[in-house]
Amino acid sequence: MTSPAPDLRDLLKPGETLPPAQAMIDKALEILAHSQTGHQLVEFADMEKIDIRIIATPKPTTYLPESRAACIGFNKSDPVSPSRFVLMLAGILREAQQEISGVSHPDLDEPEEKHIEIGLAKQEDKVWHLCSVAFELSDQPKFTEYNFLDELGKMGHHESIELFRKQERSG
Amino acid sequence: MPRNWKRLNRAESVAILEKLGDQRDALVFSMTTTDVTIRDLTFYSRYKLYRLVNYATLPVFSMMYLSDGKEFIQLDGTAGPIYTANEKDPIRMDETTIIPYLEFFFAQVEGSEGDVFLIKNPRKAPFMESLSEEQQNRVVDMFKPIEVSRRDDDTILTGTIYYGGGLIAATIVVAPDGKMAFEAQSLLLNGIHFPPSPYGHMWLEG
Repeated sequence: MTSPAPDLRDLLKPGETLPPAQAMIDKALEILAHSQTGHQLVEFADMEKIDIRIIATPKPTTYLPESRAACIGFNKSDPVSPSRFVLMLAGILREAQQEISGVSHPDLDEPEEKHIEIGLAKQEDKVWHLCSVAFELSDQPKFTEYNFLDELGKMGHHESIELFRKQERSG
Repeated sequence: MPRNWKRLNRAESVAILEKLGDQRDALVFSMTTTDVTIRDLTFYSRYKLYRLVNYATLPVFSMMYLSDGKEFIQLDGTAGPIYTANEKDPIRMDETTIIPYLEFFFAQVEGSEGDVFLIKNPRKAPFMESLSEEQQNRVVDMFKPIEVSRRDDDTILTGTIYYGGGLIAATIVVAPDGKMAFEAQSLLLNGIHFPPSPYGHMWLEG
């Protein structure tokens, strides 16, 4: 099957009409809370009064400008899927949790090795949480159509999914 | 740093960040870990392109704005903010500015199929290295060179655009206010893949 020809008029589409930001955030928190790992993140966000905001960005991204301010960004002409949104929320909440528990980025004048070491450790921890959330939600029939594992793969985490699966199997 | 960009010193950066912080719903950028660079755009008289990069996050977080130094319009991947800036600082649209304008527009506005790129010289395009010699020859044979003309008040460009894995021959009509329309487009070749975001990699065709 051949894919349809790309259409340049895509560029001029007005942004899609989306539900109010707070409704999207509340729904994502509600879904997230159905996983054990996600539930812990939702409780953390509530307890620490994390300010969760949706921002307009050219590409999907998350941003933690302060430890209690979590931003999720996407292009309004091409919004992320609900499952991607839930996973992005889980990721940025885990980053906030890292910062508040003292695992923060080194100062800019610290040696490069330290940045790499801490950066990789933070990223590994975050991806592990994303895998936990995706697997825990995928195991529930009511979330089958969300395809959380496919979405996590599309986010570039295919290898992590396989590693996580192997570790789960080996107990 | 890519050519044509000027890095502001710390005091200048802080002044910009303070102005930005005063705006409603402004994003937070750290005063100490954010770099501000600025670039002239030939089609504007007053507005410039501002790039803010916060190096304290991993991956680094960046955001682009159009600004006259007082009001900041955040670029969000849609055409809307550019059209808003065009109303505040009416653009000069003619045969000399249409190419820089379209390159700027395509660098900032993204469709559902990803980045868009105006091909000026196919032999210098980065995807060429990934193609076989036969495919490279096909690209060169099919390439439609850029032609610019006028029709009443509109400026018109015909040429070859990369989008969604395809090379597309297109006619783009740009009105005096910068609003654009794609009048004709036909797929020349499909299944071509750019390196991830030519803009992110600061690729310049030369």
